[in-house]
Amino acid sequence: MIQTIFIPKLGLTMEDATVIEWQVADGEYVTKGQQLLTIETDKIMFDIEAEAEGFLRRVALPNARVLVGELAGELYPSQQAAIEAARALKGVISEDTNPSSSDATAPYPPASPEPTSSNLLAHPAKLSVEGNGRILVSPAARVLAAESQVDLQSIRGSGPGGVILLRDIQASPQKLPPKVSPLILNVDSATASSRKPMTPMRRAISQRMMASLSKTAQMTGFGRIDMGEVQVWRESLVAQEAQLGVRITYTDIVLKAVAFVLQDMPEINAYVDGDDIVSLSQINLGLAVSVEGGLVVPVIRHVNRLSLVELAHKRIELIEKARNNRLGQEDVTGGSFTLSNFGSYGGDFETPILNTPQSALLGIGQITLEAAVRNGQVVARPLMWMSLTFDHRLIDGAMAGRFRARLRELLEQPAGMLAHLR
Amino acid sequence: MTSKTYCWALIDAMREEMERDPNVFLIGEDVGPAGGAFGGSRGLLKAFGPLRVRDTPISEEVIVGLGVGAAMTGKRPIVEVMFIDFFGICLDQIANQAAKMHYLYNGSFKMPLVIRTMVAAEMGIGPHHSQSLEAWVGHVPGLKVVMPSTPRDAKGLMKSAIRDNNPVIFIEHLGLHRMKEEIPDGKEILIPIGKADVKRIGRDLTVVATGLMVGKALLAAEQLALESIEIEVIDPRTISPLDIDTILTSVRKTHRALVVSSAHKPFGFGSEVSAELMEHAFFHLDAPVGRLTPPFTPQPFGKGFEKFLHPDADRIAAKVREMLR
Amino acid sequence: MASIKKPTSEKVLKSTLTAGLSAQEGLDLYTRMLEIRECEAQLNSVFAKNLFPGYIHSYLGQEACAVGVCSVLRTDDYIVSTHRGRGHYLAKGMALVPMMCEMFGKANGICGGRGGEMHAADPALGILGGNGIVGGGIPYATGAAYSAVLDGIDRVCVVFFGEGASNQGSFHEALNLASAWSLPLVFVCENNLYAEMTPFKDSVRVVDVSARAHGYGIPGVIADGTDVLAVKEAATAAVDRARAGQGPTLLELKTYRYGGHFQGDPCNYRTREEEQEWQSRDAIFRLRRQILAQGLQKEATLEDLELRMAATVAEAIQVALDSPDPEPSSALLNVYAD
Repeated sequence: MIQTIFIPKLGLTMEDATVIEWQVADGEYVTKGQQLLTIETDKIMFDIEAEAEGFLRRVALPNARVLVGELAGELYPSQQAAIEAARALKGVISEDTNPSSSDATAPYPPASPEPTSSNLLAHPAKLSVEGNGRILVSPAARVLAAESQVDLQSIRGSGPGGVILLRDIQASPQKLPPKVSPLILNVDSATASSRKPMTPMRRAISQRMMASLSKTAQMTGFGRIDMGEVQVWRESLVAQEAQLGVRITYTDIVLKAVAFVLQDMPEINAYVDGDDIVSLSQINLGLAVSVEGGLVVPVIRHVNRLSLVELAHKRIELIEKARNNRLGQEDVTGGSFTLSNFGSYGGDFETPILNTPQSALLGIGQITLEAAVRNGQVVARPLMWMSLTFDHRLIDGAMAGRFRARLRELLEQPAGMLAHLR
Repeated sequence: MTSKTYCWALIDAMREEMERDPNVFLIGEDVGPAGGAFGGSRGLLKAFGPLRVRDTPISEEVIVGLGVGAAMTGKRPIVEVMFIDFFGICLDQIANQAAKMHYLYNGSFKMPLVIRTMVAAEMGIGPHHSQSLEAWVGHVPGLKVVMPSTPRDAKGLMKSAIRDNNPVIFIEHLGLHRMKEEIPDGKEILIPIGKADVKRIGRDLTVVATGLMVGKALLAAEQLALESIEIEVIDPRTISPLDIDTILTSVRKTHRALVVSSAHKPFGFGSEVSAELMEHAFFHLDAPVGRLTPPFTPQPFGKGFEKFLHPDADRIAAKVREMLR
Repeated sequence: MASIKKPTSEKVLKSTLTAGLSAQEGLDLYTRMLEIRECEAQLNSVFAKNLFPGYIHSYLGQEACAVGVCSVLRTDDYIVSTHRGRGHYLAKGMALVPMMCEMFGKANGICGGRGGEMHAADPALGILGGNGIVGGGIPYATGAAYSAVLDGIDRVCVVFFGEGASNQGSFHEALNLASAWSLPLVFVCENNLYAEMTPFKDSVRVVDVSARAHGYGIPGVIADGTDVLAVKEAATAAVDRARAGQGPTLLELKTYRYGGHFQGDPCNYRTREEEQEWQSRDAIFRLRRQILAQGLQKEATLEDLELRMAATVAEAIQVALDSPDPEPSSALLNVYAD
């Protein structure tokens, strides 16, 4: 006989809930007490367990809002019956089974554990069973779908035999950007002529920026750098692009210079945790990248150990990933210092907000030809502003000044960098 | 930098190492006055004399055996087995003796032996002179196996092989002997054993190719580039120990891999790469790992047969397109 | 000797070299052969008590071959041995205890327990290992000989093998190359009439292995493998030839192994009469008799030596039995040299 699974009333005032996710696939066998699905009310997350054993047929859809007492699913005595019932259900419901993102009642990020690549093996049940076989999906696509919380059942595969491939996940409108994305906000002015809820990314940026400003004692110091020597150097590197295999940019050169300075000033490559100062052993530099809907900050690791060529490749790789919304967890964590290039949108100097828990962030502006005085004469020089925001809990003005001075030294006489190359 | 052919690059490597270390010597069939049946040791007899460059009888087992014994007693021999197809005659000395001396006697002996041999697939010499048998020796612990595809790699790897204290099977391809490349002049320019080379950076699919197939893969890459498909071509250069890390890094980027080889598919080099990728890059794969090889037949004599059986640039490109569907 | 029974009938054969045997030389040869005899006999009993790991390929009965040949070699001369190598190792001077520990596969064996009975080596003594492949050592012995040619010194290499190996291609390839290149390599064939369990006469058309030397243009010499002095004389000539740059010799020693191909081999391919016939010509007893007959040593001296040797060997076996096994994970080491 068929057992029903319904949405329980969890509190006196509860009227409805949001379905977060199923832990079991259609047609799978469950035992009594096994966790079936997770729902969320405005107060809590709750796991619904099977009250009997049987083969599951799911009814409630992920992200759907359901009423107390509504049918969530059924347990059948045979797998065949469960699968047939599931198939029938799909035929009845129209294609538009996913609520629009503005109806998102799921909190971002969701608190329940996602199937990661490592625990996919522990939970093979995460794979949907459809018809008399599995959903065909490549391993890479499966991992990306899990990371982005895309429901494989809603994807049509474009590979041979209907296999779901990476490109299908990447093209999916459901795909969400990585959950933890330390971001830098550049505040635009907005007119209040319409109201709409924030996207999850915007909400995350909003919260992080507030947290950064309220929890640290940040200030910004400025300086100017004569980029004449760097320009000459960079031109010769660009001329060698064919041999090097990549086009070196100013960002690469500045990143490398920053890595040099951080090696000499480890006190900046650190952060405050309560009453402790935590020093970081790696020099991993975040690079602010503008993407549709906001910013992300992918991290280049061990910049002190990379050659300019390697650095450039890595930068290109990460920016491409960022623009295609393919950054993974490992690409956006672990940074010890961040660089933001305002010059890329015509900025000069700004007061960037720290990418906490980092203690410093360097902004560079565009390079403009301006009048400067050299040896008593007025000459035209390519100058660039640097804006160094630092956490005054840890870094005093003098130390920040030394950082800027050292950076200026390296960039105005780049031969000094070559002398330090290992 | 000087333009050198693959064949002369190898001769240069041996000459430089024989000049550097008087313990290095070369024996094999026709290596002396004839300068090698395919010209692979021209000028060496004149430079080093008849004890250090010496013709042997046609006796592959004792050619390799002599190398084993000399290596155990302080010398650094290079022994030639003209075609890798002849390994059946001397496999005991290679696999049971050379490969195991250092291990069996717990480090008492080093085995700084280079066994220089040749794959002549697609060279029109017939079924006993056309096989690519690196899998036979790749399967034996204690041996190292290298397979360079360019003059620069050949020279650098030969030097490394001679300086290595382990038995190294050095597999050249006859079809590459005339390939020319600008190579640096220095005598201390070595290519490390166990390090693969990315011959072409790409994005959409990783092609792992060995020996004669490297050039074909690069040609296929140019064809595909016109269709905006950018393949990454990796030349392992060393069969064993295989630099799987370079291949893994590539596949983590491209999510697809194809192994192209002159050897057969069953139990061949492609199987090894495929298994390693399955084990270590499974969750990065967007398609099954492909293997493109000749079909599982002996190699009959005749250009028509060879062309039919062996992958060429067009077929590599077609396979890549198929894998990208 | 404590462990060996005296032959039931002793043939008195004339030795080729009666004059000129000094007391010291006689004692040395006797001691060396005794050491091997004791080892082999005691190891057989250890095996019978089920305390030996693996096969034993006993050298019992062939002691005069190893000792006669190795007694004319220098420390820096090389030997290459076989699967039945204990006689060669000891005759070339390998230390008894490390060798014994290696036989038992122990961690303090001369090869860390990795080679066992068929593979022991000591580069400092020129012992270039044994082999599990019949005839596997013969090709690489040519390389050890060629090193001397390259070095321009009069070092020689001796390669031991049985008559069974003389049918392997490796033997013929090596014999040809060594002859063509006049390598300082002495080929010593211990013809004990049976290759594994097949009689030589069923495998080969010629009666003597040494007849094959003619086809390679080098001397083929036969010596009585049960007469250590005859072996020594023949070996001296062959080694001197090699040192003088005159090339290889094929020296065939007619001998007999008292045991089977390995311990436990029931030897039903031989007759008991044949076995007894050979044992009556036992090399060690003959030398003993000769030493006493020529008044070179007193009986008491020899008895004392025999008792001490039995004790030394027994002690070495006990040390080996008590020694630790190798750490299993050490199997991962030394696959490649640095």
